[in-house]
Amino acid sequence: MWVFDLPAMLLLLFLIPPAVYARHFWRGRGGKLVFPFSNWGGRGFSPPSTVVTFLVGLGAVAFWVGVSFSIVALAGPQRVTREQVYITRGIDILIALDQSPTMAAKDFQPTNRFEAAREVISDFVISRENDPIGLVGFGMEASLRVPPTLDYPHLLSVLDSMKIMELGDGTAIGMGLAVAALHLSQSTAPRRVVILITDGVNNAGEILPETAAQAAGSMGIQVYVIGIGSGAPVEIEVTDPDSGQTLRGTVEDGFDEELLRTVAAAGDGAFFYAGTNGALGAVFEAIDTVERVEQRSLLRVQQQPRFQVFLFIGLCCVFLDFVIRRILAREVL
Amino acid sequence: MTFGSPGILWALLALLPIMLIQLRAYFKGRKDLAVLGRHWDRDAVQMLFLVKWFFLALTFDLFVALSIFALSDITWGERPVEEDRDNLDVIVALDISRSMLADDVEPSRLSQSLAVIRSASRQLPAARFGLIVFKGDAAMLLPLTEDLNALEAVLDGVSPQLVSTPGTDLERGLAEAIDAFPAGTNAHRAILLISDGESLSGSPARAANTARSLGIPVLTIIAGTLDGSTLPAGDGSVITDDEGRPVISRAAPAVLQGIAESTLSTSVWLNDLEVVGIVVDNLLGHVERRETSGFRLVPVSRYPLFIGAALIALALSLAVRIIRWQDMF
Amino acid sequence: MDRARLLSSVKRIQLVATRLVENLLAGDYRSVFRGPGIEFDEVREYVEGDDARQIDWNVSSRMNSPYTKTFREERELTLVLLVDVSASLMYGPPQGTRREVVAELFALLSLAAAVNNDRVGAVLFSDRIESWVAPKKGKRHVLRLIAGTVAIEPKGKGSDLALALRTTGEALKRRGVVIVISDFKTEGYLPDLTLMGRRHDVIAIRIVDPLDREYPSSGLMRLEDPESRRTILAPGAAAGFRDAYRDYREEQRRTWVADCRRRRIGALEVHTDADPAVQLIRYFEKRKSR
Repeated sequence: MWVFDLPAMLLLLFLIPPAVYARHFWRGRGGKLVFPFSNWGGRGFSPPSTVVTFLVGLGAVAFWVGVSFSIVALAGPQRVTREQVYITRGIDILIALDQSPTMAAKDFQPTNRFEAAREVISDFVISRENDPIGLVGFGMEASLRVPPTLDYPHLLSVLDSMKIMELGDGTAIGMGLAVAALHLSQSTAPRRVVILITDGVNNAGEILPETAAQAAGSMGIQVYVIGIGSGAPVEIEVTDPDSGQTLRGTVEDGFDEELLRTVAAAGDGAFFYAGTNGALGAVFEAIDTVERVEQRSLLRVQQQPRFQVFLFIGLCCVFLDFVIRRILAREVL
Repeated sequence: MTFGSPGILWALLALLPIMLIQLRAYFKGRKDLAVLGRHWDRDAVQMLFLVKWFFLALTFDLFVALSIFALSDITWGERPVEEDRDNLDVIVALDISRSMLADDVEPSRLSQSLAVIRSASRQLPAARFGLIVFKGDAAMLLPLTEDLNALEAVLDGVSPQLVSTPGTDLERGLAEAIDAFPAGTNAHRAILLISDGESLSGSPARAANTARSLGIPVLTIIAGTLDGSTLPAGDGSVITDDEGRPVISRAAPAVLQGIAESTLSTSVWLNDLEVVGIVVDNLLGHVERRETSGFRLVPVSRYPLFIGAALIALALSLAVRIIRWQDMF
Repeated sequence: MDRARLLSSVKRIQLVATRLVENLLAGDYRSVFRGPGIEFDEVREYVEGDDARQIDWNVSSRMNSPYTKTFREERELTLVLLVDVSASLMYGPPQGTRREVVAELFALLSLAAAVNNDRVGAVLFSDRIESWVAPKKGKRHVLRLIAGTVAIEPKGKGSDLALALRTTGEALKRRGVVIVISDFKTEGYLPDLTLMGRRHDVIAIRIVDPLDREYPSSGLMRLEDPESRRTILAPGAAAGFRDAYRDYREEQRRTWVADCRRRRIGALEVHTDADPAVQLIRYFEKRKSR
């Protein structure tokens, strides 16, 4: 949207028609040399149209266009942008995603568990506003991929770049949870939430999931645990990002529901079981609905002056006229 | 008095060719009038032409000059605008080009820069930090976050190898930093730009202008010294040019000072003993200066004055053309 | 108008013209305007040396010896000068070149007539008759006429030559000499010129300025016609424009010359960038020898 700083100045535009009349059509104007070229009572000499006269006409048009633009610039055009600004602190959410090879199991549509989780997470992120969200990946070990941030585009691009087995062959649930808890420990958010997504048993890492969960719980961090996988034997196919080898096999073990329930309980959260795409989506929707705090926001109006563009065009147009008249046509007066 | 786009003032040089054209037009016009106006009193015609020409040239030159001043966004004085922000978001834009490995600042420009970032972030625990590194291209290492642990971890891994495109593009780095502020946040925003100032490509002034128009101050740290030093090649020797002489990298403070100035901030040398304190004070200063009253002081752009004066000059030049003088022309 | 300058200009023109007329022009003038006022006197016997063309064959055959006619010249002529004082000639200051040439021609011709004891009248016209002075004899009268012509401040702008010709034709009962001094930047006068040419001895003097022949290579200029107030943009730098102007002028000139010739009217072009007296004398010499 556009507004003007000094809209009254636009009234100057009304001076242009009389000025054009005085400059180009008024008989009494000066700058004319008396020169008899007519026959009295007859036509007399009529100049042929030359390139020069055409250019001079063009220059005159450019001149008045330029004056109009300068007047508009004088009126101070401003681009107004409205931005919704949150004045409350949102919830810090860290999503810990299992990157172990079993996540490649093909019991989720269209590809595998990992892709399904990725899709659901990105939908979840998009549906949030003003809640810093971070990302922890875990396999053999765990690592913070994105700290809790409002820069969702960056978060989504990192999520998109994550690969199965990046962090080795293993499932360090405890480590994942611990890293997530660590990066939430200094947060000033009113609520802090970890969403842990896994499909296996804890078989790596120095920290037990229960210990990590207790630590999180003691810091007041909510831990939601989502176990995914159908439980039935399922074919997997995974490409090792280090060696480039494609591994195939069948996975039969499901997640350790007992453990996950314990973890959720210790973290003051809940355990969800998601056997299918739909179930996984529903779980995230449920968490999305529960984890809401009241957000207050205001509209910030920002005005960006844009007079320079107009003035520049105006100056160029007037200068074009100058060049045509002074250099090409060599105007005397 | 400051200029939003001081570079535009160079356009004033265009007045020279314009004046030459006008002078040429005068002498040609004299000659033409001597022929075309041969039935008039020669002296009167020439005198009138001189007067008319002079005022025409003067008013047109004034129009051009005043327009250029207006274009350069000339400002003086300050005016408060309402701005209700709290807290502080800082995006650090860190130059990781090869020249940052120079050791004219102990232990090296890069290491010292990282140390400064660490100390400053510890002294500003409530602030959110983000990190952009740039060379010939820019990359986001850390999105804006409250998580200082993450910042520490990221800082540990900073090295010139993080970005493969060679060179130093301050504009890219600065632009990326401006983009790194997520929309919809209610914090004060500041950019901390750390570089040795050698801008090999891009137009830093353009990015600085964007920052200025968004009200984001860019505090710059000049990494290096004017004397400069050699660059380590990695194998213990130093980088040499084609003739075998060692390449000396010197800090170029002008660009960085210009950026800081045009965004109403300051610049500080990395080897200044007080550098961390100055950075923290300045970052907090940006907050305090505004938070006292919920207002932000912004410089008042005086362009309407100049455009107005330019248009008056143009109107006068029209009047000189239009009004018939001494019943001649 | 600056009165002192005007007076000195009148004096100068009168003086120069008087000298020129007495030394050079008077004789030419008479021989050119021997005039139609020749009337039959008597028939007498042919003597050696008489013009053989004048032999009266009727009488000769009756008398059986050659007789020749003798004529008596009507010595007194009436010269009426039609002077164009329209804006196209009179614009600008009184020292304007075209204006001066008109005044000089007027002075030369009227003085030549006065010296030859002819009656001189003057009609000054623009789009109206600005001044009408009936033909009279005497140098004092002529000098007054010259002063009046030089000092004229015409009220009209246009040039209605047709009106001037008509008025003169009505007023001039006896056959006389009519000299039109004009730039002929006017139209619609041809029928009246034809009439005038039948009844009187007419010479058309066309004032031609260098600017009436070619447009100088120059910068862009806005031109205003002094009579019609029409304004055009003259790109003097464009060859196309200058060519068109030259062609237009050339065509105007050719038409004018043809128009005069068809009506057996003497046509003289006086260029403002040369001495009008010289051009006038050269013209008279040429006409005399014809």
